Amino acid sequence: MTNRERYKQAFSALQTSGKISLEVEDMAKLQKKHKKNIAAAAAVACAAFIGVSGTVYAADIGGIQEKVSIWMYGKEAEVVITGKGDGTYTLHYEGDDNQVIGGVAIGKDENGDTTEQMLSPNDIVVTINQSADIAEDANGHVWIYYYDQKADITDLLDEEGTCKVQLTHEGQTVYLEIERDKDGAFAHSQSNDLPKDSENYIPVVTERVGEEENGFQPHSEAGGSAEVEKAKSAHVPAAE
Amino acid sequence: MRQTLQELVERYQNNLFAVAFNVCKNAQDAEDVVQDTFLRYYTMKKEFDNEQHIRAWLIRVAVNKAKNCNRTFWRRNKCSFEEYMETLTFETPQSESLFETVMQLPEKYRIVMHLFYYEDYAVREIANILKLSESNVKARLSRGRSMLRNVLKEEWDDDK
Repeated sequence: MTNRERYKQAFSALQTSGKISLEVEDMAKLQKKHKKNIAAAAAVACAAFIGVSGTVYAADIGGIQEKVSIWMYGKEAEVVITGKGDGTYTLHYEGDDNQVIGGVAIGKDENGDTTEQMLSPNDIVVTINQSADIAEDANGHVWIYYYDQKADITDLLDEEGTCKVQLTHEGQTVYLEIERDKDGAFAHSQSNDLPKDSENYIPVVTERVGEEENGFQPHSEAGGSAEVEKAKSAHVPAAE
Repeated sequence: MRQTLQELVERYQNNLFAVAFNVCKNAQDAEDVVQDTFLRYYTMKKEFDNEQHIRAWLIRVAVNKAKNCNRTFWRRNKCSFEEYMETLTFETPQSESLFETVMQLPEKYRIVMHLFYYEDYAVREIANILKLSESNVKARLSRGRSMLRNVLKEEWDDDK
């Protein structure tokens, strides 16, 4: 038996459950559900931004609402943040189907107690906006996004999928160390302070993200988890 | 050319499931990837040159979608890889051992190995599907084989 035959025999054990739907209506419902899950995950992930573990509850919208713009993958999106004055907040993103989606995140400290730290919705927005996004598009190009700018860093990544770059935005230099993990996702650390090895940070020239581009789905053939990635890749000090 | 969704589902659902599982190591996610891939085909009015073009496109979309599953914060873990393994039926203990060993390889080696050994793609075709250079594919293939040989010993030949 050849290696190829051995391999095929081993992987022939993998079979679908046979529940693949051929009905377009059913498929569309599944896709819609998937989008909602992503949006809900984004709300949860934002709790991680502020150094707390998030607990999500379905809740009525209440408290003081603020409509803010956040940058994700070079595109500006409107999000409604509702501060409830007790360390909790809601994030609502209006999806394509005009349904409001959101969750409530309650911060807890390391002991599992509800945090008494007042969280400013503006702090969350600033954190989101100041964190760069890195994503690979369907053509295999890796892009770094910062506010409305982007730069192709595909050729800067080494064999291990790492690189150090610097970019300038509104006169401020941002230093980023980027690493592709074993699952293909990108993690990065980011600082405005001059690193000790600043000579290793390659300057990149950014360009404006085109109006026609869909900034929320950098991986156009792979569905959209951009919102979640934004949340994952942010690096901010934990709330104390 | 276009083929009907039914034809494609019948012909490729298990292949796409295997390639998606190979990347995301989660049966539920892999099922979603297969469904999403066919939906993508249906909603995208792309014309294809021939059936091989469709097959390569489906596989590329499935790989990308499966990679995206790995990136999401909200990964489902209702059924772990180990639990799912217990539900699989292998023809021989050697098959099970090979399957487990492959799935322990890093993703970048797994997917190249899978497209080569399971889908019978040549290095050039794999490079095209994964948007990698041919030398990169060869290196990953070589490294993956070496890793398998180190673990499986005589159960995996020293092929080139």
